[in-house]
Amino acid sequence: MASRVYIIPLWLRLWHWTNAALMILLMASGFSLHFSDPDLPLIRFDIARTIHNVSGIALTVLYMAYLVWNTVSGNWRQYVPAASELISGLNAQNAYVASGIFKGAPPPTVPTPEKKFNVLQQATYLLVMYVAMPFLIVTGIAFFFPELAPEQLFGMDGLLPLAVAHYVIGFLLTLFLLGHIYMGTMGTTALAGFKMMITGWHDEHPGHAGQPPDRTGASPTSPTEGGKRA
Amino acid sequence: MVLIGGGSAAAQTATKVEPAEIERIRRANAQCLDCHSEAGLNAITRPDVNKADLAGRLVDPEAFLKSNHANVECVACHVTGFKEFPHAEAAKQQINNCDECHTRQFLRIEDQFLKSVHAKKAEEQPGSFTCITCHDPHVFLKASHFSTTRQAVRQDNAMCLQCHASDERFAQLSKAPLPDLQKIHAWLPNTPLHWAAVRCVECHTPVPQSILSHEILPAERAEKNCVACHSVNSTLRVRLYRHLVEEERETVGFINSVILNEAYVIGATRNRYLDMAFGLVAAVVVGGIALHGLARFVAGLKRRRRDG
Repeated sequence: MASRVYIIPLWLRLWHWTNAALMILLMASGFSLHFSDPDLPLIRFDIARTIHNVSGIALTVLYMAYLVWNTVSGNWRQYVPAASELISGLNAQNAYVASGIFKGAPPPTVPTPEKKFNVLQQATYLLVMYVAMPFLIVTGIAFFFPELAPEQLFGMDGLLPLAVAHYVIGFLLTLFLLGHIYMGTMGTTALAGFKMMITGWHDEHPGHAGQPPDRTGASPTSPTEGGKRA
Repeated sequence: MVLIGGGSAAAQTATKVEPAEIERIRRANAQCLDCHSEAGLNAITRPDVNKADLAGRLVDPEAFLKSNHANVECVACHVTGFKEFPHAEAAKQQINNCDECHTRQFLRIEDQFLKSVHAKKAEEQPGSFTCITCHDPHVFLKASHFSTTRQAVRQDNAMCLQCHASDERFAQLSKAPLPDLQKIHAWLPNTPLHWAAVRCVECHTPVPQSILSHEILPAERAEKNCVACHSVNSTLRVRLYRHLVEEERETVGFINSVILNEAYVIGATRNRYLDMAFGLVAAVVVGGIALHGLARFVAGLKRRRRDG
């Protein structure tokens, strides 16, 4: 019997989708600015600039709010992988992606209110939210005031290191977004993850109700255990 | 070896000048600078010199020696009547026009100038707008002779600002009030940065066929399309960076790196190797996702068929 668990509170969902919308605007406008071509304008340069600036400022404010929310609510703990689970958890996740999913095996872990993320998610989100995002925002803000950049740095324009760093991190986050959306289809069903991020509720695997997931936080993580549940 | 433009032929095809000749020119010019320089003015004790008048006729020897005309004798332009003091009354009327030396350039420049917004001012007040209104012959250095484009930008923009930032000078040539440059350029993002990084003429001249045009465009016809510069085919390649690009083409044939040494221009100075690497990585990721998704789909179909 399928059951539902409430996992993602409203503030987290609102933050997630606002963040997603801003990131998509930033990626589209950033792509358009970087690969600007008068013959093939994705978004007109001046419009893309405005979109990028406004979204960038909004993202910075949102990120600050997120830091506060995440700290105050204690949600930040969700991002820290347990050292004991790191290797086994990553192995289980990799085995699922590389093989289990093709055999119809259930995911090695399912989200619970106590442990929303699997180890791969924890490690990735920790890097994305606490390393890449600050880096992106700081280079973005610095880029916002190009007149303050040194005229020359190491024999090159002073803006160059900032611009390249911003571009590299923006690119990596674009790859993350692609992977994130795709991994979103790897839940108990292809849409379960998306539904959960909209409603806050997680529907457990409709096809394997025999063994409900452990909600104590110690979800089954090994592919063999997961396999048993299939 | 030094290249100069000392006479008609010389200004058109740069000519080598022997060190001894340079030495002679510098000595001859030093005689003029004995009075026509700040130091000269301060040292003068002769009672028959009108110091107030002389103060308006000074040359900065340092700037002059860095200028395009560094190795041109003063008397090449200030032709006659200046060897003796007091100088001949009519001497000032006999200063050579620029086209005496720059004949070939004039053939090209004249048409451009006549179409320029400045030519209209010259029509309204004949003789009011000449080469030296913009180009101070004692200071001017061709943009390509600067070691960085920023220096060239500073010099060239200062030429425009002589009038366009001075009510007094602007009023000498125009009856209209001096437009507020900040206000009329408010549409241009990061205006101070643009002004430090590119020249006014980058936008206020038509895209040149060969070298920068002297057709200065009025505000309404000036370039306002960001991607004219902010794109891989940036017109800065034929404007500000023309000289650098030409040099680079001979050696590496990769324009972006040379512009990168000077300025980061969004959309124009992207590193193509980084872009290619990212394109490849993105293709691998998208391809990998597509393949994985397809394999999941096929595996799912097989499972469903097997399970009935």
